[in-house]
Amino acid sequence: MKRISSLFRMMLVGAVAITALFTNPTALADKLHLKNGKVLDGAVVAEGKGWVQFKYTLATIEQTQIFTDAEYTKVEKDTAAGSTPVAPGEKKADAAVSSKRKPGVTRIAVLNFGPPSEWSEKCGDMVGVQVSAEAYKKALEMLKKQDVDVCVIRVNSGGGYGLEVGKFHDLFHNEYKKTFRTVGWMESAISAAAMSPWVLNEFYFMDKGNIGACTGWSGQLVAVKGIALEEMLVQMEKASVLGGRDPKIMRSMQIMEPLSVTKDGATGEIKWFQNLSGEKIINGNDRVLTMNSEDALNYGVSKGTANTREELARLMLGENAEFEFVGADVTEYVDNFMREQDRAEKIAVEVAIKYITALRLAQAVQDRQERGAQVNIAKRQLAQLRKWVAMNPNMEFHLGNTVGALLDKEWFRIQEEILRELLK
Amino acid sequence: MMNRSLKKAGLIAAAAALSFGLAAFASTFAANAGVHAWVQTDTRDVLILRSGQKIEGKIQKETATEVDFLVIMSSGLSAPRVYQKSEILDIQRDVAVEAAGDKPAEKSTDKPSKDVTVVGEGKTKAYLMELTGEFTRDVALSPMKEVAKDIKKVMPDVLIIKVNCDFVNQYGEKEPEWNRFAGSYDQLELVRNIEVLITDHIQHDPEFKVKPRLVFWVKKALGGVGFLPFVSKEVFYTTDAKHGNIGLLDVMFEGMGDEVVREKQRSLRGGRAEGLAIKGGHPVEILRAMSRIDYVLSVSFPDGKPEFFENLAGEILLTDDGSLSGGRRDTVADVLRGGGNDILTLDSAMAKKLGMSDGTVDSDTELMDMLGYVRNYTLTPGSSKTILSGWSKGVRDAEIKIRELIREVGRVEIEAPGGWQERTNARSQQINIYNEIMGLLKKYGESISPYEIRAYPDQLAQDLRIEIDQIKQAQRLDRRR
Repeated sequence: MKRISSLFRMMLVGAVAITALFTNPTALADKLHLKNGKVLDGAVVAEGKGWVQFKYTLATIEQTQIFTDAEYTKVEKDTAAGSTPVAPGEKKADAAVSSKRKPGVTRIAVLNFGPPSEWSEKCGDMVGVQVSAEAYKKALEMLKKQDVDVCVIRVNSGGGYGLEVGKFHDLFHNEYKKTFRTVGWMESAISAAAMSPWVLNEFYFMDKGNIGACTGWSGQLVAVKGIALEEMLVQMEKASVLGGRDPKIMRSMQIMEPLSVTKDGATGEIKWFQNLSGEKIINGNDRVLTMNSEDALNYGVSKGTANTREELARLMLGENAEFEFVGADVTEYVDNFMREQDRAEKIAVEVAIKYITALRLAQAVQDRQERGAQVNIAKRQLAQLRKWVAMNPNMEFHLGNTVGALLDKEWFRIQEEILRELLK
Repeated sequence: MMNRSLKKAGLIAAAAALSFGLAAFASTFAANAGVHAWVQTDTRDVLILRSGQKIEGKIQKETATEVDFLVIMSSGLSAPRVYQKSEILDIQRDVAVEAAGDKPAEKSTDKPSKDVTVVGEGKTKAYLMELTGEFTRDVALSPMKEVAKDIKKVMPDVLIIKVNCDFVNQYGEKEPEWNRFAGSYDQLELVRNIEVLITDHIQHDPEFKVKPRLVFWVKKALGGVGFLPFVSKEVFYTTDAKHGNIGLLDVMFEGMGDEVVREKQRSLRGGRAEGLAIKGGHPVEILRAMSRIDYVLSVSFPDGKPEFFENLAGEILLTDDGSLSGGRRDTVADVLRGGGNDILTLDSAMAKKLGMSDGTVDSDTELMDMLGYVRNYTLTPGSSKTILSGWSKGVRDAEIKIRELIREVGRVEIEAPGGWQERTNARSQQINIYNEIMGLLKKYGESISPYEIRAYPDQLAQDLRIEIDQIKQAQRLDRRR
């Protein structure tokens, strides 16, 4: 705050000249013509049937937004040969061809539930933040249009918000499972990332795959207790039933309950015990379970082990089955959603500080014109925060933690009122 | 643990020493300047700024109003910047490197190295990469990505990774080998990121027509780097090898929160680590014994093959439960003499007995013999040595440079007569310095020690971005009188 105070003092010294805002040089050269007449300069990040994801810079703030075909008239793409206008519906001719169903060929889409470690990049994997039911809801609609048979949820996440688990249960059980054969493919499914897909009936693992550690907690490793804990246990008992798994398995992942198992050598029947009486101890006393791929496979939690999507397809469909991977644009949409939310998480503090700085300068300055300029700067930062919250409602409190206020509608309304007052 | 106030004292307050009026600001600076290392040029361009600064590098692009410039530092590091022509007093073009300053740091080269061994016709191509120094600092994700690119260039038949790293704590700082601490599991995520570069990326890349045979060769793999050899089916050890002491997972987070949450935290880390052992086809029991004091493991050898028991039933007790109350916790005297059985550290003999080791070898030739390539192979380190040593040097140079730049920003003054132009120059200098620091953080932040620069790299970069924005605000509002 010391810096801000010194700026106030500087401002109060004399009159202020209004000059152009700082603009970042940009190499982006595509144009998006909106139906409201505005033209955005930027770059197409991704596109699919019915939508385009467009990155553009508004003053100093970089935005990445998804526009549906109903929102724009054309995209002008900058190519070496010059710009090429593409109207909605005309784009992705190759995608349209590949989206034609070939007889006897199973169509598989893969959605990332957390960034695969193969990305080798710094991207958060938090359920409810980067991994959002909102994105999966939109992805569902996009997948439906692509005539997908099998949807693979590829999980690599260290967990996140418990409140997102129920949303995923509803979405996976009531929507995805009814629309596609939906399977979970586990790289590392920890906590909320293990609980969210637990309603799916088919799991496959990678060699290094693991699932578990579902204990609810907050703050300084303080466990969820009492009624809240019971609610979570009941929620996952129901999820176990929907997913066709013995609820004892998940219980040992949530709390320190022993777990053992016996497999009948003749019939292959598997029996779980919430104690150590089974032949194989899966989780000892005073431990929380994270299950590895070997135990998962041996005791029926996993249907098979696959390290590549082709291996997975053969496991799911049989060695000689014909298949093709489709919906690359949907995968890309979910991936870009993760990256955008990750960016939000990383720079929210900076945006908030820029907002507060501009707001305070606007409040302190006497010159009306300069006040207007500062209000405009503040508005742009506010618009950025609002956009992130609109993309993912959990950002209300998630970014709120870093910004220091709950970013709900009321907060935005109050800020807008303050800014309006300043312009009077 | 470094805190923000220390950093603020050292850096941000230095910037706050500047105090001037408000007005228009014409300079544009490249945001998030990327940094390129090991740039080689025979000549350089020199910008003489109005502020008195002399900047060496290469002009990338020039317009009537600005110069797009690649700044090359004396260490050989480089970073792009945009300078307004109004800031520049003079431009000296194509000045010979000797005249311009120090030569750039060592660069990668495609020439055959003296380290290359050719036996017979050299048919089988083996790439030998040696990991040395401090894991997380000298061995980090960025240089490993570069090495992975180099491996792709070489397209070897065999990829050998020799692990001979220092034993380090969670901050990448060297520790005595007998020491035990609960920080190695913090390095697991780096291992998970590195292992995909040498396994999945290669396996899934169609350009690798022949997938190289992956071989680990362990000399010293203690602490977090100890996870890495587990991902390979083939592991060899040197006679004096040490592998393990990853430990104390069971005391991690002790004193914090509730036991069930601490166990959850331990469980997920253990689960992820075990996944690596399964991937390489090694017994998870060995990894567990390297990780937890309270884990009991014994082994018998029916038919010569190891059979593990998670109790005392085996012939050889590898680790006991280390119970403090039961008097089974290792004593300092035990540990200092390399003994003790709370945490497993494998030597070459035990590694062989337990099936972790495919053989004990002490030279490249022996290893190649053991692998079955006796008379017809080429053994090369490719550019891995240059890449990894270049990174190590870059990290240490960057830490020193950042400290220098932090001092330098504190010395920025508004020159007499203290008018708008002088204030503008001073701000411009500040921003240039901040951008230079950010460039170094962007390039080396993952390996820079918070202790060396008195700040956490990510936090410092964020603070600098905010500071730059505020300087720009001040400049924008400053008035030319």
